[in-house]
Amino acid sequence: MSVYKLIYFDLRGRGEIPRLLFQAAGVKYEDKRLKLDISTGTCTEWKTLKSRMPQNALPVLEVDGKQLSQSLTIARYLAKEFGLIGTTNWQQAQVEQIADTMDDLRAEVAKWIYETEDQKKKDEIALHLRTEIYPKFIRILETILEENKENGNASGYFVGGDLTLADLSVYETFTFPLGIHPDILNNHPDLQEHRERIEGHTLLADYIKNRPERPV
Amino acid sequence: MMPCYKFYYFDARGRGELCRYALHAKQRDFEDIRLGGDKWQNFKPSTPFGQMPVLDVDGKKLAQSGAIARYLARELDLAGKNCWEQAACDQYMELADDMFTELVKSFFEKDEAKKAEVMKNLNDVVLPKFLALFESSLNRNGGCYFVGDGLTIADLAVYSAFDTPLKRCPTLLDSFPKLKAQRAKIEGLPKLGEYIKNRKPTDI
Repeated sequence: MSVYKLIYFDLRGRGEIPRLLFQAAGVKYEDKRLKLDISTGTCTEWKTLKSRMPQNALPVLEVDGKQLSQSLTIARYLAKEFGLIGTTNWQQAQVEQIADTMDDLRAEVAKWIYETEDQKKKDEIALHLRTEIYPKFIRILETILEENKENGNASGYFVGGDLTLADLSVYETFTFPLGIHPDILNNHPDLQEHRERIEGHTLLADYIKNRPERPV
Repeated sequence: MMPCYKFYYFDARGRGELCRYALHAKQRDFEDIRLGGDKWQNFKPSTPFGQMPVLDVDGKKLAQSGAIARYLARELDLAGKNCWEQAACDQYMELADDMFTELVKSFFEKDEAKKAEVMKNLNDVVLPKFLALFESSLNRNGGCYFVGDGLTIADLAVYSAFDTPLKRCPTLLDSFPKLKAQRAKIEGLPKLGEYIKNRKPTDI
């Protein structure tokens, strides 16, 4: 059995999907969290660690001492190792399709997070998220779930009838938006149900309920 | 029975060229369908997410350029020999995509004053950072390929990422001999080399 260490800041951010994968697989790992000084947004430990990371960035996954960078790469690697990425090459591609789409949504929401100087601009971004971005991505996800039902997959999971990286990506990508816009899934029962399914999953429930509360 | 591939994208390199490279590198036949204007609008409703590129495999459609590239890499044996090598390839694809995202920002910046600032940052900070990371990665792996001892999707992804920067600055790789040599090697591959030599130039 490999020895895993995940190095990231003490935030959910780009580290949380890999953490959810470890939970869903029931695999032990060292969850190394670099503490941030919330008032200044700086991390002293990162200053010394940065040059030792392959791309001078986090997260980094260490597997028996070998390092891997890039959050999406780490997520796909772990999902493959843990059998959480579908059972055929095509299914794997479908899982990745959803995970990559969720990363597009994350990037849109990040624009709101990173706009710290111009409140008017920030409000415009928030409006754009509510009126254009969330509806677009919600429609994509609901369409997949509807097509699944038509094709005999009424499991409520996005690919292949069981939990995969796709489900964890969808769940986690909506965590932050629901914090700032709590009503966005109100008229979307399939996606609300999906969220409840993940939060009630045997291997995930405790972790999600008790994980540290962080701003992102 | 080999599946029938149809690849749909705009008539540009953008997020489609890597998939085209993978198919040409393995001399695999495919329909290289380029859509724009009305043809794109008519095709749009039948795409999974209203976007391109889309790969049609015997009638089944796949979206998201990264998912398509990785799927083709696995099917065409360009993905490394095991799970770890696949992840290593993936890592470089993601890094190349990070660089592409920065380039897109500069390309689409309309404000003249802001554009000058963005371009300066691109040339002085962003590109040097990625150039150094890629060159040192090649060096760490023996100098020829990013992963293992043969061509993978990682090499093609980095090649593709530098297509547009090199158009703007043809001497960009002069201080990065491993990257430069790898580029020449890729351009020497049979079907892929022909495709690169004869394709119509596009801005992005």
